Amino acid sequence: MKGISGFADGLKSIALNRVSMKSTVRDYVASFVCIVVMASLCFPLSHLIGYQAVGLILLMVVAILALLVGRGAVLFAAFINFVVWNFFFIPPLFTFRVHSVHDVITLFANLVVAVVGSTLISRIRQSELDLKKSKDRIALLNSFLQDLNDSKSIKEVVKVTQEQMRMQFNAETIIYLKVKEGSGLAVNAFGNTSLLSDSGYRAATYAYEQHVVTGNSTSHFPESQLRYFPLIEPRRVLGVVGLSYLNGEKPDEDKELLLKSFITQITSALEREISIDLAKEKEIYSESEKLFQALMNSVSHELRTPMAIIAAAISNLKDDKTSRNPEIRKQICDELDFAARRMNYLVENILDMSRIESGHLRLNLEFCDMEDLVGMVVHMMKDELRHHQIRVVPEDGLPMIRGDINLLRQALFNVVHNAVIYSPENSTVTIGIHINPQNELAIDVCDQGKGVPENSISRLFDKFYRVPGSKSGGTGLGLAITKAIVDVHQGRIVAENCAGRGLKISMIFIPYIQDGKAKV
Amino acid sequence: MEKQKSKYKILIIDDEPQIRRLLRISLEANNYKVFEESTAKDGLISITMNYPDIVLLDIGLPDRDGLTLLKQLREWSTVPILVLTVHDDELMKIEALDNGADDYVTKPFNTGELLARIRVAIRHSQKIDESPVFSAGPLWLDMNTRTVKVDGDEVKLTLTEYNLLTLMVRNAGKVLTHSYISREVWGNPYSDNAQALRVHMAQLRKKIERNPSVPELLITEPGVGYRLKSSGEN
Repeated sequence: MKGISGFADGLKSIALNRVSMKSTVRDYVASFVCIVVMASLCFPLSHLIGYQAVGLILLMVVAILALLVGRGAVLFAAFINFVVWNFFFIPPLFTFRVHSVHDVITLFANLVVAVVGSTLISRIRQSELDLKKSKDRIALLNSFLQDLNDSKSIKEVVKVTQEQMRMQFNAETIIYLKVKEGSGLAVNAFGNTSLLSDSGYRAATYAYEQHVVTGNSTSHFPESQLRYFPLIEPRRVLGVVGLSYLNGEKPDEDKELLLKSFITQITSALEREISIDLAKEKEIYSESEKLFQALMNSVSHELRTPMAIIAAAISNLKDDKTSRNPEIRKQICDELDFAARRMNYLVENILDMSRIESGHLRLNLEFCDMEDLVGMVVHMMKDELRHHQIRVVPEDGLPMIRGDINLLRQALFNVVHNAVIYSPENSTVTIGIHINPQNELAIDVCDQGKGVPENSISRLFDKFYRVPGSKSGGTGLGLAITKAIVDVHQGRIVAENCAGRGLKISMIFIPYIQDGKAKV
Repeated sequence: MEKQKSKYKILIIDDEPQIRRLLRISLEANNYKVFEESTAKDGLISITMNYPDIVLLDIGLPDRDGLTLLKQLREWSTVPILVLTVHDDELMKIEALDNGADDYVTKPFNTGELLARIRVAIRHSQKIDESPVFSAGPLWLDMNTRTVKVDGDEVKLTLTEYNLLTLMVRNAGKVLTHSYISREVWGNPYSDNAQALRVHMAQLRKKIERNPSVPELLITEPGVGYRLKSSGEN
């Protein structure tokens, strides 16, 4: 029994590998050959087993052929069977005449059984084939759907679509999407952009506007090389898919069906991505709105204070009572000077930030002597440092780094500026320059202020972040700029509270190495 | 300021009337005769008519790029030119210096700094002060005897350091670009010397500065070059 069921399985697998029940020339030839071979095998045996038995054997062959070949070929086999049996086996031999009524009945019964049986078998096979096809289609759709679901951007959706179209339909894909604002189709398309053309765009636009398939072998723009399918959503049309069948192959009905399902899936995947993009855009917008608000708040405060100082100082200068006293006049001038510096610092920082943000930061690379850099910053800050002691502790034989000296100066300036502002008068700010154990060049700036709460340390370099409870003044931009500058120099910046008190900020850079050793 | 009888003439070419006004107030208070123009075209005319002793030129002019004016002017005039520029435009500063500007002042500037630059530029153009002995702060240098003293103690300089120092001293108060210094000291301006220049500068500072970490004499002009503080500056 096992052998028989194995045989049946084998036949089934052969039968189901067929694409359709249409018979090919090969099927006809195979049917003919099978019957003829079986008949010639049976011919010498017919006087032993009797021609009736041969008739049954040939009928069996027809039944087996019904499992393997197309319907037309089976009917053909039944007919050949009828002819061959009649001619070679039923007496009188080698004539189509049949003497006995018994034989006539058997002959026609044989033909009817062959035709009916093979038709039934064919029908069963047809429905099995259909079932398999729809199963395959569902599997394909499922995997396609899975891929579409896994894609995280419009570009990925397009990529998956391109791959699947190539695999399933042997077609190259191009996708036009509607423009973000307003109506109409965007001119730049996704996918295989070599398929772009003006006439193609017109055909696609027509498909988009009229919600019909256009292009190759349709009634609109039939001269086009591509065929354009609109991506229709219940509420709107998202865009148009253009397909170019390679070798000019046209898909059959089944493929068309599959293609329709594909396009529906592509549409909903694109719809999803477009909505996500929109949501993201909104989020970014509100984020930048928030940043802008924060900037405005801090800038207006930072501008108003020095303005108020300047206005007050001027009215003092205009007043003879106060301006006549040289001591007071000098004090007023110092205040004016300080206010001007404060405004200048603010403007510098805003300019730096906008340059960094816009990505237009051009590095003017040169060799930078870090000790020189520190000296420059200390020199620049002479006035700010009036009420503080500053201690510079450079190690001997420091290597140089390649960097933009002006940006680095701004970076260090901001750090030292913070150290001075947030530490008490007459305390010491220490700037150390040394090579750390990882052979990197580190500039440490330590103040003797209160330090920073541990949970604020990680946010210290965020834009507009200000440590809660810190004194007024300052935009929350300085350290963010410093970090951005250190970042473009491939360095890093670390903040930590010192063991005793105060905050230490280290800027760490890669030294310029020549000939395998740090060059001094 | 012994030369008060013959006042130095200064031409200001800047398109901001407020800046011109302020400059005029402080320059006239310091005994300069001031002319002002707001465009490059009028500036050129004024130079040919008034023979100023020094020109203050704003790089960003409405009618013509200040650099173009500078180049044109240098074809026929050696009048000292002080360029007014904005803070972060180092390439512009270098370009201006390479095109014949004598020095620059960065906006926003204070008047003391500006006056010092003007004095230095005039002094260099008139070859006053060609004494072989120079002193500023702790530094004392006699170019005849090749003696360098810091706070009264003699220091030994290598040949390169000495050449560097005398170059800076001869141009005291003036900014010198990296490439100019390289050219003068090593004879070629290529960048191989960029690193060497910084190393020699650092070593020279160690010898002549009281606190080499915070130099008072050899000032770095970031991205541009170096300047030796002259005795006349505050």
